[in-house]
Amino acid sequence: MANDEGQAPKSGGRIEGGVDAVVVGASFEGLGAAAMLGKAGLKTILLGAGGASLDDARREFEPGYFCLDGEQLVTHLDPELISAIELYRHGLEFANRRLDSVYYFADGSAAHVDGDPYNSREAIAEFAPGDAARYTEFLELSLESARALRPLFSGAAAPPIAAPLAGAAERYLTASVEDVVDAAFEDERLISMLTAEALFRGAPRAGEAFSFASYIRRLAGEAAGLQGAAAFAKDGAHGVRAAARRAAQAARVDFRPATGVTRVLVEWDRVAGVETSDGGQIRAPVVVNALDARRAFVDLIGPELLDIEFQAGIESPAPRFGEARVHFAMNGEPRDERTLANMTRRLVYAPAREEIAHAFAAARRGEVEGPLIMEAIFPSAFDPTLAPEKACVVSALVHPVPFRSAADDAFREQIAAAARLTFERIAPGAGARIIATDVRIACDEANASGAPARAFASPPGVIAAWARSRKLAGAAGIEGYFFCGPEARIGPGLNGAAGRRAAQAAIRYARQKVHG
Amino acid sequence: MIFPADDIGGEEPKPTALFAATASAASANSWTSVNGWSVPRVYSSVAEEYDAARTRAVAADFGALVRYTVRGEEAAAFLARVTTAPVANLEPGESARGLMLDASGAVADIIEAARLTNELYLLTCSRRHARRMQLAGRGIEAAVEDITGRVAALAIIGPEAREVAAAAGVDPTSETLAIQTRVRGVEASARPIHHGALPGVEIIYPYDEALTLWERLRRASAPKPVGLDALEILRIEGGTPRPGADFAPAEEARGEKNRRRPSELGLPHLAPVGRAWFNGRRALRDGLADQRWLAVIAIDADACAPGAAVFSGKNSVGRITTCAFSPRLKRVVAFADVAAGTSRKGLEVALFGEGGQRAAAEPLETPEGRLAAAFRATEGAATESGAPAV
Repeated sequence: MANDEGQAPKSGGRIEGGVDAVVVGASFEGLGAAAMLGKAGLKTILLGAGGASLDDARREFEPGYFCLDGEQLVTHLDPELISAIELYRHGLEFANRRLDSVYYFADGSAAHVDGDPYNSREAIAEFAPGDAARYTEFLELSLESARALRPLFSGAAAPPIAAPLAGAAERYLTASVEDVVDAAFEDERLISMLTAEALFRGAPRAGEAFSFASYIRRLAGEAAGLQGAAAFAKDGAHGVRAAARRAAQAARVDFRPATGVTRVLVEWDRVAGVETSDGGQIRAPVVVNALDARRAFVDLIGPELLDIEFQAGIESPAPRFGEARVHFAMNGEPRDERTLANMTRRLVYAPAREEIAHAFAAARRGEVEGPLIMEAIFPSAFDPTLAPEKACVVSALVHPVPFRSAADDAFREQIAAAARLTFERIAPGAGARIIATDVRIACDEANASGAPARAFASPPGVIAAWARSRKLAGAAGIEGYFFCGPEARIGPGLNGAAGRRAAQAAIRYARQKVHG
Repeated sequence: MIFPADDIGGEEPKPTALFAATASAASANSWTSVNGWSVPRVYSSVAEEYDAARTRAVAADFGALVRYTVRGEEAAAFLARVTTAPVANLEPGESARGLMLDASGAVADIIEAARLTNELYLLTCSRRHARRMQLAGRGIEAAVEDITGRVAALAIIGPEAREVAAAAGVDPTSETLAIQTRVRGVEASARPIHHGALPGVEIIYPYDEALTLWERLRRASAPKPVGLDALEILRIEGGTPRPGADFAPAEEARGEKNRRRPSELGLPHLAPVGRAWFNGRRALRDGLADQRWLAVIAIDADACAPGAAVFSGKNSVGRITTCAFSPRLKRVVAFADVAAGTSRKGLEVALFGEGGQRAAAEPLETPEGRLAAAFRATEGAATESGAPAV
């Protein structure tokens, strides 16, 4: 039993008062929430490390070769959070604000698509002229739907959508990828491109209802002020987190990374603070929890104070799919001209539909068989210090791979082989220059952050994630408790909307308490 | 101790532990199925069984009710989570009624929890809740076991219930506490219960010894066996709703408008939000005003049927959910699901098969209603509730 109401702290522990808010977990969401609370004038303490060290932006995975852990690209950074905590003023910088994408197909061809999705019409007209008119219409509807549905993708209530767009938006939210792209287009490469973007990093498969919604979410995202774009942050995800940390420090948030939380104190349906790993208590009327839902509710509050249905919603079935981050150390630059020209772009392998079906079938069996959907970048092209001179580092995300909470060398080797096979489709002959491969999967992220591995599994479909997020946002009806853990996010990627929404709700609550 | 709605459309009903005895006594041969068990509706005459229950004592087979044992250090915490009964305050031998609610505060069942020993509880429900039990047990050190069908359950109901039980060798020494006893070598647990307004004693004992105790009881004082139909009249007069008949249990209710909160069923005293935490309490705390009122009414008629429309003036305000002719009141007593705020005066019920005639009806004061009124008075909620104070 994790919680006994009103229990005294352990002997030797001290009770700390005068605190307005406690944030548990220093993930990006936690940092963002803490910064907002501090900026609103609440005396805020941030407890726990909640992620990889903020000091080490880079990791040496092969002597002389460095990779950046965490999200490699920014596609969904919450603009409201950026503005609320002034992330740019606190050092958020982009090494590349708008990466063009180059899609590689099973037949060996490639298509260069502008980083601004609105301009992608020109590229499509060039490589799929028969579908150009239909794509233009589809793109306009998709971008407008994405814009209209943006609140939903940040976890807010579904917005009302005006009549001309309502039909398309509803269809895009509920249809499967296959239903949408097969009905709209004939060009197999265009179909592969859209399918890869829609399925990348998500759990649903192409034929599953609601699977197309993740493509609309992708278009709803914003990077460096441009809708649907992808940007490379200076120092990668660490750079973004570091800016959020500086924002929190500027807002006078009290950082205590070495102090963990053993219990959230609940007194008569109301949060009263936390009990810390050193045996003390911090009394506060507001607690924002950025840990995963199981820890935030079941472990720290205790099942006996949760509604049964709420707890059942937290303990969802074991995830099916995960993703893997693969870093290649290459002892020279790629030899082919096409790859050399694209080293500062986002390179995507879009498998043919039979290849995708094969990859998902293998993942369901617990195996990894390439080619996979791959998003690769050359971080050393943006930051030459990541690799020795004339050498380079490739960072890639591959999907789908089976989810495993623990992994052996054989499994890692399967992933590495599938990733190398896929990368050969992007950069033929580059495999000969790969001298080391670093594979990072959910259990590695879990070990680094202290979170359970399932927090790094491929997220459920957008609609399922939204429903879960809405349910968890209620924080089981415990007054003063606000949740912004991984399950509050909708879709993959650095976002910050869950932390921002939790902080906004917490600030409203705190002000109501003060002003009655 | 309330039976749920019949499940006559289900599979072939199974015999309860006391089936051999009840079958030989049921000369009317009128049966129904409850939770998949065969239960006699009438043994000989509804009026005689009803009268015997009110004036002396009757014996009933309670084998169709669902029983769970809950064991372990955190058994009380488990039950405090699953039910609204004040389990933490029970001493060994004590029982308490309560409700099972879902997270939205809708009623799933009416239950009774009895503490048999320090770490052993008996939970009696009207229906099975396997999934709920499984979910509720996650993270709590308590072992839940469904013992329905593995025990015999014999209830003696009526003003002379204790004397009848004592004559059979089951001596309930206390009016409030359960006892563990042996009757002719048979291990038995006897505890005080209520059915409607009537007191009673329930004896739970091993399946294999089912007939031993029944026979001893028959020889000692020969209480009249009572079927479901007579019990149904007593239940309505007592004011306790029947899950599945008077309201849709939370798991089965389709749509928010079919879900019922405790106060809408006239049972706010079984889920006091100010007492302790239980599943659904936060939803009740933050809940909206009542939309419906499950009223107990007396109708000036000899017969009525579930589904009959209830009128207040010209307006149709609801429908009859269960009803029965009360030999004592010489009128039909019924539960009526009507809109909250319906006036207590001028109620009428459209009778089936009588040319669309309407019969006058009026709210009936019941023991359950008195408890609810007393609770509302102490909570200061009388004016906030949709149901008028009785």
